Amino acid sequence: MALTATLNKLVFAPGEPMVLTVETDPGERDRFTETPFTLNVSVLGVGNADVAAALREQIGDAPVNITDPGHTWVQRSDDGETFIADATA
Amino acid sequence: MPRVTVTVAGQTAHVDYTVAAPALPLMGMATVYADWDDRVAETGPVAMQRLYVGSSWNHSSLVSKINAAHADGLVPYASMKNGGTVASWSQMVSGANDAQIDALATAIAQMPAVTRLAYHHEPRPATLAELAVWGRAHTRFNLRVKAIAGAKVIVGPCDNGHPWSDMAWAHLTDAELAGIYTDAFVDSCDAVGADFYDGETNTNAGEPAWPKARGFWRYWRETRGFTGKLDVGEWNFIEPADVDLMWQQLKAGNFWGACVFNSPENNRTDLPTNKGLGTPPRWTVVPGTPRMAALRAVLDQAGIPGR
Repeated sequence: MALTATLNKLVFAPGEPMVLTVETDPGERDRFTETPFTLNVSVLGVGNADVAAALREQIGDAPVNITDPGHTWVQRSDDGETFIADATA
Repeated sequence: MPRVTVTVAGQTAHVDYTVAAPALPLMGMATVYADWDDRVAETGPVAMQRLYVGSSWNHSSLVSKINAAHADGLVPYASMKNGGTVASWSQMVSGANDAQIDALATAIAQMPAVTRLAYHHEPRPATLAELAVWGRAHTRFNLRVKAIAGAKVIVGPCDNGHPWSDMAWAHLTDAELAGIYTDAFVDSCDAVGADFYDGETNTNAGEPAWPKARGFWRYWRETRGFTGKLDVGEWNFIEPADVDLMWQQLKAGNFWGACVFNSPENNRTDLPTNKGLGTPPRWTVVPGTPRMAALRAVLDQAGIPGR
């Protein structure tokens, strides 16, 4: 996974707005569920057999977890590739 | 160094950053101009010099003093008046002093460092209606100066401090203050300042400067949401403990600067006689007294070059 985290600045004055941007490559945060099921296939005159398969459904993006003991970060936006959060220095 | 760590689907990235320490208030002094070096010899170096040229607009004297302050590495906190009367505010509003304003701003624009500039400090006593005119006069002054001097000047009033007192007789309501400090006035200001004095006498406990400074910054920061500079043209103290309490308020309100009044001028006849103010009692901070020790202790914390 190509994961990058950047801040709008590296040195902040007290009270100054801080903006965190987290970026991943397209699709890398996509998450799916797979529901297995069995399909019975019958061919007339030949016989039948069970085929195992799975239903794959996209359920959303992997969450972005932020750890920063000194500040509270509030999510501003997240399109699945670019996540932006704000804090106050 | 603070670090923000991001975890996504088991992968981790981090970025380090720094939050700078809050700037300490520029601690300066107000005294008789000719006594400056003597007072600094007693207090040690300060960072800002209060400058005043009387009620008449003495351009050459003011510019000379501002230039001298810059040459000494001090931030000049200067003010002037165009007559010193309530009537003079209407004259300022009418544009009668525009040429003087422009000449002063032109001189400041050519200076090597920034100048703090206030028009007609401590405008009271005056009625609220008269003070509203003062506000309009100051607005005109601010806008004209800024149009010429730009970033070389920090403009804004230096009001009396008692409207922000905890004492009911002196306090102005938010509505009364809003009538003076209109949005147009405030928008024209880089800074808002005031002078805070202790009214203690032998018969009256008075009120130290620091509660007024507290009321002042709470009003501007919290009620008005003012994010510009707050400063103090003059403040004094009688009790040594009040110096550190003032320092705490200056930091809490994120004041930009403050000049301690250390001058024999403006003495009241009823100053306390048992508080180390000398004989006869004077505002000047006497060397070797607990008052001087308290003042020096705070100045030592202010990050002043040379201390």
